[in-house]
Amino acid sequence: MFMLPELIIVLTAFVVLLLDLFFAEEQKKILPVLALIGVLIAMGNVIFWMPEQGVVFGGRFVFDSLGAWFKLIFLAASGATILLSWDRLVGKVSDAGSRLEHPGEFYSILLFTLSGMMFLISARDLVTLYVSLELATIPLFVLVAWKRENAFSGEAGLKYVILGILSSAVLIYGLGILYALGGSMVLEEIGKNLSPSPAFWLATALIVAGIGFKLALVPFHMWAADVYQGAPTPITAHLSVASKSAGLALMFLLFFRVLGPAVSEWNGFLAILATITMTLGNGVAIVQQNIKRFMAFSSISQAGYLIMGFIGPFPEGMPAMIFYLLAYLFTNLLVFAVIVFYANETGAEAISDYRGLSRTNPLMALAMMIGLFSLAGIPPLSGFVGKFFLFSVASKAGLHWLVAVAAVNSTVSLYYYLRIVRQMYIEPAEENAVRLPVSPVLASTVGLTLLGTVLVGILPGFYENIAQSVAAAEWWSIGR
Amino acid sequence: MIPTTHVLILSAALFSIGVLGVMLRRNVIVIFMSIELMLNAVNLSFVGFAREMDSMTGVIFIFFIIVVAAAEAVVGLSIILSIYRNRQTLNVDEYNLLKW
Amino acid sequence: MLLTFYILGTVSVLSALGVLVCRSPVYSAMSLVCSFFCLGGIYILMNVEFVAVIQILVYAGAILVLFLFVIMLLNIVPTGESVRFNLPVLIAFGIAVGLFAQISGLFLGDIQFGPKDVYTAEAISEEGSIGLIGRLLYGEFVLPFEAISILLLVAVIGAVIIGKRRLN
Repeated sequence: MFMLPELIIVLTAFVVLLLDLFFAEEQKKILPVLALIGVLIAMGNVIFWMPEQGVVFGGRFVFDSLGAWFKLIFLAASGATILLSWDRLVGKVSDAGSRLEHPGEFYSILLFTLSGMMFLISARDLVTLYVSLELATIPLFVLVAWKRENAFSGEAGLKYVILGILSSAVLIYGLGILYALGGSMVLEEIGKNLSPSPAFWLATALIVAGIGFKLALVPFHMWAADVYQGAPTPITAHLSVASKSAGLALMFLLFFRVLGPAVSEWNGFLAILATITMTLGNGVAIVQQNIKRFMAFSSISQAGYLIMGFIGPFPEGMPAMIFYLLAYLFTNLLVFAVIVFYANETGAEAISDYRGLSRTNPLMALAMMIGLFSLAGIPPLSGFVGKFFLFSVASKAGLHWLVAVAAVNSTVSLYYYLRIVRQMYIEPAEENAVRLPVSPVLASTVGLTLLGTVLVGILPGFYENIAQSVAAAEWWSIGR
Repeated sequence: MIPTTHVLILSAALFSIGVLGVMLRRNVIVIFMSIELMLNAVNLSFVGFAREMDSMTGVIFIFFIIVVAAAEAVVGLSIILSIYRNRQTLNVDEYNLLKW
Repeated sequence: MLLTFYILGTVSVLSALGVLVCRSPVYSAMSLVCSFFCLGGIYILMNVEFVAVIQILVYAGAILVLFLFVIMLLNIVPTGESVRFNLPVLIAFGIAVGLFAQISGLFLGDIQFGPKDVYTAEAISEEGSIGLIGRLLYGEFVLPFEAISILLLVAVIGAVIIGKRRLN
C-alpha cells in the first residue's frame, strides 16, 4: 500500500515499453501522455498518503512525510523532463540535430530512474540504499549517451559512466567499513553502534567522495560541466534537478541516520564544503560561453547553497533545504524549458546566440529573465525566499562568516545571470530574425514552472507544511 | 581460519592497484577493467567483514555488488562501442571534444 | 590453509599488476581473469563457497568474456603503449601507495567490529550456504532483489539502444 507510487511508476514504465513494441510511428505520440499520466497518478497518491507513515518489507522500506516531499520533487522533476523531451521524441522540431529516437525506451528508462530515486529515499538499510542508488544512476548513463550519432553525447556518456562507476566503488568501500563497524545493515542500528575512530573517518572520507560525486560538490565536480554540455538538453535538465535531489536524499540518509553521533562536529566541515562549492561554481560560471555548461556551474554553486541546510543541530535545517529544493526545481526547470525551446528551434547553444530574444519571443525572454532572477535570489521570487531560509539556518548555527560568503556569492551570481538577460534584452537581434514558433507542450511547461517559481515564494503554506512533515518524521535521537 | 586483517590488507592492495590503473592507463577498456578490479577488492573486504562478524548479510550484499558491476559493465561497454564508431579511438586523451 | 591463502593472494596481486602493465588489452583481460580465479579460491577458503562459484561464473565467465568480445569486436591492435616512468606516473604511483598504506595501516590497527551475528562457520556448513543465502535473499532482501532485476532490464535495454549499429 505504501509502495503504491513506486509500483505505479514501474507499471507505467512497463506499459510504455510494451506498447512501444506494438505501436506504429504515428501512434507513438500517446507514449508521453501515458508516462505523464503515470507520474501524475503517483503524485496524487503520494499527496494522498502524506500524513501517514508506514513500514513495508520488515523495515526496509519506510514511507514518511519527509520522504514524501522528496518523492514529490522527484516526480515533478521527471514529469517536467517528460514534457521537455516531448517535442524532440514525438513532436516537431525545426532543428534536425535535436531529434531523439526511440520514445518508448526513453520514457521507460526515465521512469525506471524515477522509481530508483523513490526507492532511495525510502530505504532504511544499506543494501536497499545501494541498489536504489544504482537504479537511480545507471539509467542516467544510458540517457546521457542517447544520441548515438552525436560525438558529444557519447563522450559525455563515457565520462559520466567512468566517473560514476568509480565513485560507486569508492562509496561502497565506505559502506562496507560502516557495515563492519556497525554490525548490521540497518541504518539506524549502524548509527547506534558507531563511534569516532580512525576506521570511522576513513569510511566517512570514502562516503563523502561518493556523495560529492553525485552532488557535484567541489572537488568532485569535474564531470558535471562536460556531462551537462554533451547530454541531450532535457536530460541535462533532469540531471540538474532530479539527480541533485537524489544526491541530497542520499546525503540525508547517510548523514542523519548513520553518521549521526558526530553531527554537531560536522558544521565546520559542511560550511567549508559549501563555501568552496559555491565559490568555484560561481567563479567558473562567469566565463562560460555555452549555456548548458553555464547551467552546469550554476547548478554546482546552487548545490553549495543547498548543503547549507545540513548545518546546525539537525533537523532544523532540513525544512529550509527542502523548501529551497522545491524553489530550485521550478526555477531551474523554467530556465531549461526556455533553453530547450531555443535549441529545438535553432539548435544554438551559445549564450551569444540568445541575443535579441526579447524582440522575437518577448514572453519566452520574460520567462527566462524571471527564472534567472529567481536563481540569483531576487525578491520576491522563490529563489530569494529559499535562500533567506537557508541563510538563517547558517546564521542560527553561529556561522555568520558563511552567511556573508553566501551573500557575496549570490551577488556575484547575479552578474553572470544578468549576462544572459543582457543578451536577450539589450543586444540587437539579427536583421531578419523572425518569431520562433513555440510548441503548446513547451508553452505549458514554461507556464507551469513560471507559476511555481513565483508562487512558491509568495504562498505561505509551503514552508510550514514542510516543517511539519520534518517534525513528524521519526528522528533517531542522538543522546550523546 | 584466515585472520581478517590479512584479507583486508589484500583488499586494500587490490583497491589501490585498481586506482593506479584508472590513473595510469590510457586505453578506456583497460580503465574499465581496473574499476572492475576495485569492485572486486570491495567484494573481498565484504567477505572479510562478514566472516569476522559471523554474519550472512554481508555476503548477500556481495551478490548485489556483482550484479551492479555487471549492469555497469554492460552499459559502459555499449557506450564505448558507440563512441568508437564516432571517434575511432579508444585513447582517453583524445576524448577532448567537450572543453572550454 | 594459511599458506594457500598467501599463495592465492600473491598471485592475485601479481596478476592485478599484470592488468596494468600489459600492452595488449587481451592480455590485460586474461590477467584479470587469473586474479578473479584467485579471489574465488580465497572465497572458498573463507567458507563462502557459493560466492566463489558466482564470482567465477559471473565475473570471470560473463563480465570478462563480455570485455573480450568487445575488444575483439573493436579489433584493437596493441598500440605499443606501455607504462613510461615519468613524473605523472610517479605521482600516481605515490598516491596509490599512500592510499594502500593508509587503508592497511588502519586495518592493522585496532578496529572495533560491530556485534557478531549467528552464522558461524559451523552453522553455515550445517545448513549449507546456498540454502542460507536463498532464505535471506528471498526473505529479508526481496525488495532489493526485485529492484536489481529492474536494473538489469534497464541495462539490457540501454545496451541495445546505445550499442546498436546505425542503419544508414
